[in-house]
Amino acid sequence: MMEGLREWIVTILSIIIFITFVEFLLPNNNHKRYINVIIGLMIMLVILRPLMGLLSGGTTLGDNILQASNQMEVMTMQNRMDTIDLANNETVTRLYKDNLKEQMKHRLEKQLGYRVHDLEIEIEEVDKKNFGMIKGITIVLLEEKQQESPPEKNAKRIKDVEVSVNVHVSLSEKNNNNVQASSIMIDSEGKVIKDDFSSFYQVDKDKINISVLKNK
Amino acid sequence: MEIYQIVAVGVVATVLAVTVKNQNQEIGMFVSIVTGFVIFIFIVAKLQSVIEILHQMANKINIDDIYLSTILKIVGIAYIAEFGAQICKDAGEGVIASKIEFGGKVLIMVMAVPILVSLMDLIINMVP
Repeated sequence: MMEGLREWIVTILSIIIFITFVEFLLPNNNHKRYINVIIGLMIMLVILRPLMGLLSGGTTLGDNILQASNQMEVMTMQNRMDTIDLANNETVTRLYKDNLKEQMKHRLEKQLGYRVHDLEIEIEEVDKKNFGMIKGITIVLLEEKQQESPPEKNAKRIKDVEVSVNVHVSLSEKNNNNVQASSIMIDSEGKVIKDDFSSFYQVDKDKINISVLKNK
Repeated sequence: MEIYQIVAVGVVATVLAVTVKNQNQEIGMFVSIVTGFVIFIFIVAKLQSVIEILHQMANKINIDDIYLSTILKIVGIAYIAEFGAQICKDAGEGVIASKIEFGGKVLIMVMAVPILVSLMDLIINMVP
């Protein structure tokens, strides 16, 4: 309880300090009004945040915002598809995929604390009605979690770089090993990611493939 | 001191642009566009380091990344739109400039929609 209260106060204070700092970076034209509106909404959200934890039981603010922006991303892409001719379809899908990948990576690294090595997404491209729905996700993680103390973390990171270089060379080999690799991780970690992703992006759990690169 | 360099670039470019403008108006415009870019690139490295430090700080005190990144994105959009609109205005194309500003406004509003949605969600949940 005390810890939560402390975190709440720190967040409010730091957001307000940060905003006063950003305010004089703003260009002085009529964008300022719009920005002020958004900043106001944001402060309201920050203040109401503890309530949200009570009401919705666990889902965080970041989740909500990401989910809404994800939905908007899909809709934007569908609208673009309707207006732009077929020749440009590929560009639009690629843009969408890149955005989605970036978002998922961010989610895995920041909120769940894993190190992502590679991420592939398959999306529905034929069926016009469900266009943009995610059909499958393949995630390749690096082995350890990101929760050590800072000096140790740095040391580990250097090791990781070496590992990923090795893998780049044998990329095709890695794909063949996918089945085997995912069987390495039967413990709860894979399940956490699958649960999280399947509820967040509405993907079937069977269609999420997770494998771990062994760090040796 | 970097401010000397920036002012020097600006003053030299202004003198150049004014001199050239009498003979050839287009080249004067090019000079001002290029100067804008040069100063922008000059200052961007500094800004980058500041933003990096802010991110580190946010990580340390463990606040949600979403606040910081949203605000910074909005400020970035406002700046870039302003930059483009100024160039267009300088070249005498007020109509295009106002379209750029319009685009900037819409994109800022798009950033705001997810926040609005979650706020509405919260308020609706709050009322029994």
